[in-house]
Amino acid sequence: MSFVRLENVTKRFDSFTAVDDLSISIEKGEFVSLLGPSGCGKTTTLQMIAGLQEPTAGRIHLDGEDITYKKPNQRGLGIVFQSYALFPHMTVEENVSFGLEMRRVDRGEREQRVRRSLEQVQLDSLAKRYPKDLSGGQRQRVALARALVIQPPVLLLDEPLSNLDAKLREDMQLELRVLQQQLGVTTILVTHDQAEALSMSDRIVVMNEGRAVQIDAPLTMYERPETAFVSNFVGKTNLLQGVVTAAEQDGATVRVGEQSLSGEGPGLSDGAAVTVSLRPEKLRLSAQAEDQSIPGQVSAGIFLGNHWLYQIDSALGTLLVSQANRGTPPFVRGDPVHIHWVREGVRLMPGEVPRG
Amino acid sequence: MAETGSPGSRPYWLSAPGLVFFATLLGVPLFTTLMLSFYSFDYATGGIQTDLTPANYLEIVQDSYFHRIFGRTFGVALLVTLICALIGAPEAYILARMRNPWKSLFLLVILGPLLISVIVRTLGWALLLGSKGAISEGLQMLGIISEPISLMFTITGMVIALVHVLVPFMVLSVWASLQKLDLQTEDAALTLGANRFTVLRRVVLPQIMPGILSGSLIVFALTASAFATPSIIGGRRLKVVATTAYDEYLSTLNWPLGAAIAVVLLVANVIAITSYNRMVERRYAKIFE
Repeated sequence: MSFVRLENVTKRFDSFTAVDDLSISIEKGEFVSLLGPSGCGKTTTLQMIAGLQEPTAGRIHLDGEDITYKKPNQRGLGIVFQSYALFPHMTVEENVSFGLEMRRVDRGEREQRVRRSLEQVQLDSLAKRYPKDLSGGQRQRVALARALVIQPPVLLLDEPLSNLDAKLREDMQLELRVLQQQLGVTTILVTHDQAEALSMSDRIVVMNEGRAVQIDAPLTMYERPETAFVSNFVGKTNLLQGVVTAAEQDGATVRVGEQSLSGEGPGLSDGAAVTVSLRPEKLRLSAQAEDQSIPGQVSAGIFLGNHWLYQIDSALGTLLVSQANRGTPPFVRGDPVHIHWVREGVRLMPGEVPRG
Repeated sequence: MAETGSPGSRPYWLSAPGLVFFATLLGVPLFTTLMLSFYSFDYATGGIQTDLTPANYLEIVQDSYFHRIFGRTFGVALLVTLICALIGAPEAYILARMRNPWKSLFLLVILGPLLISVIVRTLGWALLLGSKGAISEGLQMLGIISEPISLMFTITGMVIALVHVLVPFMVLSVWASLQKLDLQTEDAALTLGANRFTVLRRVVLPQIMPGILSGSLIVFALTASAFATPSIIGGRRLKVVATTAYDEYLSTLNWPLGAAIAVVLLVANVIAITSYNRMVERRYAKIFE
């Protein structure tokens, strides 16, 4: 029996369908991310779980109870908003205490729980400050403490890290994940940042145009995307348009331009259009030709510390290839190179390459 | 440009036209009024003596007639301010939640009073408030009152008319602070277990308080120095400071006393406003920028 269950949930605004027949089951203690481009309905879904929006159709269950039309203040869920939505006229302490006051927790216990909650996010020294005197990262922690202090059955995170700079965001991802596992709180994260979803979640729901496109664990999502949309959205990849020449069990040989290559992927039939996904890190560059390689020429390269990212012109078109930095001299623009891959690194998905 | 002086003096040069404008059109008349208030008036000859004496001020301070007028003026100002806050703040909040085209339409309705000449608007109220006016007739028709009533020359009538014209200032002021309000704070409070009323009281109201307070300042200052509305609705029976000064100037021709009344009003207004402002700033500077 799943802890949070969305059954055929649909939300329409006038003629626009924001969420279309969405069903998700989430286990207790699980960390699930709703990932998708802006306008895919992920935030609307979160708001329906929170009770801030009512579904047009469908049901939402929490711990066996139907909460579809329950008021948000009756649900007791913890939410961290994108803007943090801290109360600017209250101190950090008062912000965190608010939810407990609403629950009529008596003063002594309240103070104790507020203190413990602030310690959890390492903000106990700033209890008397006002939000405007805090940095972005600190505000984020206050919002988290405020959501967690009420010991919610479910924690909802609406793009909580999008306003932080890159370094801080990575730190917070790890911290948030550790805290979530410590507390064992069921968590639903809404994000458009695939790296965030991959790094923190137990499972990811990739959404597009109001629908769940694929629901899987991060590694599966990355390695075995079912559609070109997912493979393009989750991680970096090279998408090539091809035609199936010989379908096999769980794979096929395909032709891309003049080049023939084989890869893995379900649901393929002879002669069908196929999208070939070649992850940059699954490709290897060398100066010499080997079996199963094609020649190319380096047209650009950028250094990213632990790896280089090259742009290579080849018979397959322009490919992005990433190479780990092993301290050897890099290729430079104009160098002739050979690109290698193995069959397991070639992912095949039925259909045309999506635009954009 | 560097030839005109050091960079430090440039702001002064740039603001010079404005400063000259204010100095001649505001500073000079204010100064002559201040001087005038220390002159004396000879009732026998109707002449103004240019002797410097505090007599006019002593008269205002000692005469209970003036106490009543000042008391009435600031009492009405407080009442109007309070009513404007009670009406204007919810009005602004509701307006901010409306969608277009209703939002634009109602904003125009609220700002309407400001677009009409003060005399026309006040005479309109006089028509409504009189014993044969729409309010009296309406109440009689509904059977709420048996005799015609007139709100003309009453504090009630004066307050109604003043609130009507001053509420837009409160709405605009609260509106400005509502623009800064993060709507998600309301959602946050809701999800933390607050009901609608608690959200308004604990989350929305404190955040728009600076707007209410600065709106109050504007409304108070404008009511305390209002002239046209009190003079038409209040008439001679309910004099306020501004109408009293006017009468001293134009009926009694005692310009020095009129000037002294005007100066006292100005000083009282400035004291009330600055001390209020300081109190508000002390309270809110640490919370809002």
